[in-house]
Amino acid sequence: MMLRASGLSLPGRLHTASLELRAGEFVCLIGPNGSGKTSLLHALAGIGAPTGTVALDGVDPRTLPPSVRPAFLTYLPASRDVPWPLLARDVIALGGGAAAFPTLELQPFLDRPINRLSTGERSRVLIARALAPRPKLLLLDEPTANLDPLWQIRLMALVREELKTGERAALVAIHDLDSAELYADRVIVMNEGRIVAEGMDQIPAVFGVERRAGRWEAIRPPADPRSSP
Amino acid sequence: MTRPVAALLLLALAAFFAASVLTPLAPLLGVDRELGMTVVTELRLPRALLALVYGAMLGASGAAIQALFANPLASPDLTGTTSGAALGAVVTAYLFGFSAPIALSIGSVAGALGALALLLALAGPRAETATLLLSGLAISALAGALTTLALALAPSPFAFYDAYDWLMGSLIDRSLEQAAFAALPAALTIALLMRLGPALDRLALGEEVAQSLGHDVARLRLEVVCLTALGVGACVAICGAIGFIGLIAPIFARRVTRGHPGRAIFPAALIGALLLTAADLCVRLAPLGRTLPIGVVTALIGAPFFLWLVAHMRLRLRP
Repeated sequence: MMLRASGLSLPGRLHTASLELRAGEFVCLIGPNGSGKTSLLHALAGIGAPTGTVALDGVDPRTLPPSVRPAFLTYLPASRDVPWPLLARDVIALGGGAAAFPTLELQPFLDRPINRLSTGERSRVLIARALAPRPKLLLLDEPTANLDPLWQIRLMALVREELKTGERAALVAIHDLDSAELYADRVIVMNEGRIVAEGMDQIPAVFGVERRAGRWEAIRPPADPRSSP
Repeated sequence: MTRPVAALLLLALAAFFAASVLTPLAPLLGVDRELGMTVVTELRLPRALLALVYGAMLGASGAAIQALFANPLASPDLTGTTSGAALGAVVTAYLFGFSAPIALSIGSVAGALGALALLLALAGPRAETATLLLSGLAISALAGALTTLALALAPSPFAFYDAYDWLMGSLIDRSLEQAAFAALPAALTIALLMRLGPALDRLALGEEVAQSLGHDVARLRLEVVCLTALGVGACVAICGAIGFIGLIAPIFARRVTRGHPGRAIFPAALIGALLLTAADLCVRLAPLGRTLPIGVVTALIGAPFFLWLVAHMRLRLRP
């Protein structure tokens, strides 16, 4: 067992969540808007004032100083805003990694200010910031948002590739149910600030969607706004 | 910042400092050597020292505040910190009647702290530019009005006249002892702010990322606010409010740190010291027949620069 977290809480957002990740495991976190996916990632990364215990190979990474923390865990927030015009290479370096992280094809952007890049390019730089320190635990919030279809596939494959050594694990919050099912070793379902299920079985109950002929559709079609009085 | 740039800045600073102590040279060498030495030690040295220290303090605290608020338009004067400090000093001196430098410093630091606390409460920790500037404006206006009120209610009928020069910002006729009262807290604060540089650089990646990298952002915020209030307050107590250096210096400083806001604290201190020393030299050597308050000069140069900056940001940020 590599990551063992129990009783994680953030007031009003997350209620005593417990989970375990094995080394090498790629786990996706799914749940409706406001179900607590980001809060769970926050609690693991020590953002806010979470209560509960976290042990990553026996240490609580949230107690580690900034000099060694990126070797244990990194966190990619859902927001892709960087308020300062830092160069892409400096953003990655500030995150504690080697600037020339090869697999995201960042060479053309490395010497450009991050706020001059397109949203997708900026996302790739920020993903590289999280991947480059090669942490034991990767916490990614919506990593495929803003990426084009090819880069979405390449990114998920890349994260899988990163975990191949069997010493690291990833917890990825994601809205795309198909990607979660396709790439993850395990899927954790959240609802109303709690971990409610594992696997894809509870999706209709939690999300109100079901798969029909290979497509996700609403179980009850949304009310036609024109017909309401 | 690269070594050559730092060396260049330090060299320029030394040159300006020497110029402000030594020029004009003729009166010093001419009539009376002893008188000349007195002019240097009693008049020019404290003044040059204050320009150096206050400029550096404004530059460093401007850089730190901008890094903290993630906003290049934050500065001690635009956030109301200097106005708060001035209010604190005026209340201490004219309402409570304590005029010792240490009392003024304490009053002024308390005022600066109050203003920054109010700003954080009003605008929030990572405010939009408009919110930040409007809150700062409101705090400045409030502190300005209260300062006028305190002077109007002061027992001394000369309070307004007394305080006028000081309120406009002035480095003139301060003793070496007074200079030390500004210099020691300022030097300490700048050194401590520089230690926060790496954390402020990581804060540039966003508050969540900084926290995930192990920085206690709430504590960092408290440290920057307290240090800025201490350093700026101590300088305002001696020299009054001088504007715009704290806005301009960090903007230039970030050009030599490739945009890193935390790393910019030291170069901003150098550039701030350079700007204020140069401004003071202008004031002293300008052939006007009388001395302008230095705050007027920095505002005359700084305000158009600020307007240009606002226009520039508006154009660049337009969707």
